[in-house]
Amino acid sequence: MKHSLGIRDLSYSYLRNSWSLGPLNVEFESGINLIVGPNAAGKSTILKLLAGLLNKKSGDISFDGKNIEGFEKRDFARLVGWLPQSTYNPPHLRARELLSLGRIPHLLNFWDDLLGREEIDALFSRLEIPCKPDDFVESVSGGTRQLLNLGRLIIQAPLFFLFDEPFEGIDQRHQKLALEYLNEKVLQEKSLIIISTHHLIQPLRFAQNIFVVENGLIKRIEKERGHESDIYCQFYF
Amino acid sequence: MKYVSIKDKKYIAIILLFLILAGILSLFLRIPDISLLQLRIIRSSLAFLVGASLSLSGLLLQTLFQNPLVEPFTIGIAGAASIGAAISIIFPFIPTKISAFIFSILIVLFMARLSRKTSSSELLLTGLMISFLTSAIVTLLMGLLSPHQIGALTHWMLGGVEGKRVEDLLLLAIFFVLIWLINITKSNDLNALLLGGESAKSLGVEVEKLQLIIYLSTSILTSITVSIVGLIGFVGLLIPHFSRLIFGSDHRILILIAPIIGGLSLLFTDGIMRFIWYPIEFPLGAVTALIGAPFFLFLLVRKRVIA
Repeated sequence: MKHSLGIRDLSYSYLRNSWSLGPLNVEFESGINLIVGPNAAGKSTILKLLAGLLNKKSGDISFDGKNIEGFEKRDFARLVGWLPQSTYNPPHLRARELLSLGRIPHLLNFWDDLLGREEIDALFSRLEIPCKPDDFVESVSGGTRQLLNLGRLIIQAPLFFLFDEPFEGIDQRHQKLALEYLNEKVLQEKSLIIISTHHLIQPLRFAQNIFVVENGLIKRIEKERGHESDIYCQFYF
Repeated sequence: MKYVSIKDKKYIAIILLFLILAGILSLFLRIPDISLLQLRIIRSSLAFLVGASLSLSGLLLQTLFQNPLVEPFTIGIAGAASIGAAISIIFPFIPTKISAFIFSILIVLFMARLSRKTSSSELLLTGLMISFLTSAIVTLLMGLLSPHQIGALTHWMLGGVEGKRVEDLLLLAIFFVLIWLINITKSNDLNALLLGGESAKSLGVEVEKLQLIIYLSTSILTSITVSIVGLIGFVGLLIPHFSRLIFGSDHRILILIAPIIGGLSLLFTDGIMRFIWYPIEFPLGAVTALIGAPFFLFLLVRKRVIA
């Protein structure tokens, strides 16, 4: 079954700020959906609204037809996962522990095994994360840290992935590995993946749909293979 | 815990065993009269509970503020509690613990509000200023006291576990156990909070509720300990760090282990201080500050180097 994420007349504005978003009308489907657009266009705000972290001014958001307000918090976390643009990483936290935090919505009792060793070890080799699972997060490179946070969301294993600029500092090869993994998710589980990014080379190869956000509005553009640089030029220069 | 090698485990077991033995031994050491044993037991249990409460508070605050340098004393909660306690010395009809609690929770809420907008160094500076402010206010309040009352206040502020009432011990014990149990059930939510409030929310944690639990837990524990034993600093800073270093960042283990290590350490420190210069006793608060302050500086410097 294909999944869908519908946005109807969604609008939002920040307090003490003239900037406003929307009204947005858009429908996302299973597959890798790319959101592009200049800085301050509202990409992060849209993702936060979809993740239920901001209180929308008006409009509706629905996941497979079910309104966002109808979910119990934990059920929602199993269904929808969000990766923020910048992440805080506390001291003394091991890479394995960081990834394991993604399992929290799936734990029924507080004594259930948080660490899920095999699953995390498998992801480490699958994404070729360039550090050891027992390394401290504070001691690895910036790109590796970002990769670990990306891995945290993969471990959370939602149906709807919301990535806010996940590829910052990640090299092309690791971007490709992560996207291949996500693409597999799309093929197997019909996951719905939304990625907001300025890194276009690898994501454009995998994306099924492309959306442009500009001046607080969103529109879908047709993707034509071989014209990747056109898209880039059209919206950034 | 999985991150500790077997060799390390042996060391940890030895250290813990040593601390426990030292604690028990200190009950009987240099005891002039066996009838004093009851007092000793109260004193030692109190030392344990105070260490445990401060460590738990420190751990919760460090997770809440996402800042490893935070503890009841560095962000001014303890200072605020001391104002409350000082006021109740001047106006005896105000219950000490309640006025200490009111002042502590005000500071916790203030710092929580501040921490949303400011960087961690600003947060610490604010805490430092609050500490200055509170100690200045307490000093001013001293002007209203008789010499005898000033003696009592100074003695209390220096921090110590000797000669306390059994009712105080029981009060702290009840609140500590209750708060400990509540937070143990919240340990996975606390783990999620390691990633910050928004990420924790996206992991399905009811962040506002969890924050409220932490505010209440730390204010209650800090105000009770401060009003009973005075200012005993840096336990809440050192112990969570030490525990995290050995046992990793999983709160399901930390919440269990940090208060135990904290309790044993304070029990041990109190035991040592009691007979090292017998019969003179050093104030416990001064001793923990003597160990804790350099450690704090060490953390601060090391953090700069990494960042």
